[in-house]
Amino acid sequence: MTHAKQTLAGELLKQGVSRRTFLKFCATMASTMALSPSVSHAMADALAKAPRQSVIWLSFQECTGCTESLTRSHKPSIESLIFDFVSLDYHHTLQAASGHAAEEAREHAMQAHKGKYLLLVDGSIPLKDNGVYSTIAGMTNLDMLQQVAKDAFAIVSIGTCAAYGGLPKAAPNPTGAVAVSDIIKDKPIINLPGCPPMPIVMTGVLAHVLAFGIPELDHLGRPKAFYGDSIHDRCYRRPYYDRGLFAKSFDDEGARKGWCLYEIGCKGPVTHNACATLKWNNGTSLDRKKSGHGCIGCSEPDFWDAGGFYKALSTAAGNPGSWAVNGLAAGAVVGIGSALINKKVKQAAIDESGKLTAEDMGGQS
Amino acid sequence: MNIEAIPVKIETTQHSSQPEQLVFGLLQEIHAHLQRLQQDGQTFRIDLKSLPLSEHNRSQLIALLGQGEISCEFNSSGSSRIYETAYSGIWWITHYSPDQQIMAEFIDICLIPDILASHPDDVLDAEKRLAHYLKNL
Repeated sequence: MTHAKQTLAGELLKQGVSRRTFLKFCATMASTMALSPSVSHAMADALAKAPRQSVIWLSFQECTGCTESLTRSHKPSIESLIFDFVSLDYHHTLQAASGHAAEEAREHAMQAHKGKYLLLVDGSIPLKDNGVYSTIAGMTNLDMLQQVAKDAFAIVSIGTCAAYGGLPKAAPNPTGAVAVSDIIKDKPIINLPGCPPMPIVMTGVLAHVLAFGIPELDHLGRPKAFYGDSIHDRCYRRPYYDRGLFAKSFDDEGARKGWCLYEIGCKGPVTHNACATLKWNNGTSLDRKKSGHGCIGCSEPDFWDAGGFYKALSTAAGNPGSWAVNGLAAGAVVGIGSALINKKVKQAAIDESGKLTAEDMGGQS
Repeated sequence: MNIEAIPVKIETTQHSSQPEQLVFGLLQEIHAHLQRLQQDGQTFRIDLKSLPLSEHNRSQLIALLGQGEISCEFNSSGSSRIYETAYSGIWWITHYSPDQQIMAEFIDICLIPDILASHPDDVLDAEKRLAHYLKNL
């Protein structure tokens, strides 16, 4: 299979995607990424003239949730259009080929587009015992990542597992799981954490990379356009937080009135993700809180070991008499304070490595 | 001459309250861009999602700008609605996802929004298809 010198716009037209739809896509993406409206024309021009980008997607220690997030749409949508824009040359779940044919497709794409293909990775990489705990076609994930990363022009770590180690890395980390950035040090890496990340985030970042290159990243390698705000800063329950109105347990009076979920474990103050402004589940879930559950902090490193989903940020793990227990300070100070407290809590939790009990979930046993 | 022959232009609806600060500021900005359009043909786009507009602000803005003569719907990857407001040159564009969530919303100050015009590449493709159809008749 060869890639003709067709432009992206030409390819799309063949698939029935008009230039008008393409313009709508670019305008929507520019708006979603908070780029200036005039950028949408530049994006449309740049994308239209581009050759079809070769993309290799490697799946390691993952649950396939990231792929599900991107593709789980009943109707063709703006988000799924990105798959029409790229040539997805290797993807375990989506490709038609399997076995040797699939691996050959990957090797062919790597050769044909040496130095120019984009590498997407989901899942963490186990290192213990020479990486034997996850292999594909007889090759360890470690070897495959190093081999494929070598001639990629950039890497996108999709999901918290690839970005920071995620669930496999959670205490006690039996397989020695690490993030992509712990192994590859010589390529630009964009982290798109989230468990899973939002589809529009993946689409927007891919579109940006194709049109303009790597977007501006924060200190954890995340695009600032999507991960710049904390959930707490954009939460629609914030007025209750500011007035000190908290639900004390699930389904109590406060919970039914939609009060702040801080006391039942919401990690919103220390989590950066796009959920608060962009919506999950086609608009029905304004992040978890619309369903009545606090934020679990899934786009932050080591969130599985952050002291428990149902323990308030201000509570130190296993140490009820400590100074942090009653830290329900008013105002924004808590946000910063909680980040510092949370690091202590995380470490204590990792040390403890306890199992979640019914008691942890609000004392109902 | 019958009554249908008399052209009708829909004026702004009477709004009982004064526009709120943000809406007032936005209208001032829109006016400045409309002046530039009229004087030297310069177009401009305002991304409404980039502004901290409440639902009330948005409704007020829609009501104050009113509805003009043209309203279009565009269906691809979700629907889009484009209409000219009661002020010629000020267009309101909303892009919806297939599940009717607003993906993007703009106010375009221009003679006609580019998304309405046929693109030369699409025209080329259409010409080929029509020629093929005629050839096979």
